[in-house]
Amino acid sequence: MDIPLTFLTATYSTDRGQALSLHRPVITAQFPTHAGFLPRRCIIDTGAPLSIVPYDVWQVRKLKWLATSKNLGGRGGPTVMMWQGVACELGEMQIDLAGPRLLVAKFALQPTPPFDVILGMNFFADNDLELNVKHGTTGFSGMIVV
Amino acid sequence: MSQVLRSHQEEDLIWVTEDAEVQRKYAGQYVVPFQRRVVAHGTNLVTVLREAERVTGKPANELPDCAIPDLLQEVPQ
Repeated sequence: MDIPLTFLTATYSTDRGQALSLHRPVITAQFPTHAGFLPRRCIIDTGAPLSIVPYDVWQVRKLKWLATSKNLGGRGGPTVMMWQGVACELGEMQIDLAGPRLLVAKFALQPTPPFDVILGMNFFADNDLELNVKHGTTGFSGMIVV
Repeated sequence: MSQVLRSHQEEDLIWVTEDAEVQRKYAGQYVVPFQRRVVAHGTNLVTVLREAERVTGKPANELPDCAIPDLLQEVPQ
């Protein structure tokens, strides 16, 4: 099954009047809440090794997730996970993206400026998903292949 | 190859993603799209959802929201 990506696009203008177009791929997945599933837009960030769920997203929407670790052991001893200057906790939840998928992420423990869920590289590894992105005459297109 | 069928809520999220005016006007805010228009926006998600409920008459759990990012802003881990 192919899940088409959509693209956030913004065009800026340089001092010389040249256009600069910037893009981010996004996907919509179903997230479990206390009142059933609700679609959420997620930013796909292959530069992010680990997915992120902002505080507002899980706290206000009452998402069902399971905390799994406050720290991560590794190089140089235990590391407190941070994002946007706030502490995070490692957790996991199951979302629906053309079937159930495991979302392991840093869950921010305090509010941050508005941001969507970020799907990092671990999401694709954990769920054995293929990501295709290409650019042609009509702009970007892409899909997640399940 | 099969394609995924989308709900009205998902269609609204795709609309808000692809609409350049929304990106310009609401950068750095949460928005609630409903029937291809933004019915509430702001930086406090609780307030935004309350306003969306008032405007649409729908409960918040039937209204999707998303954040409008500034694409020039990197997202540090």
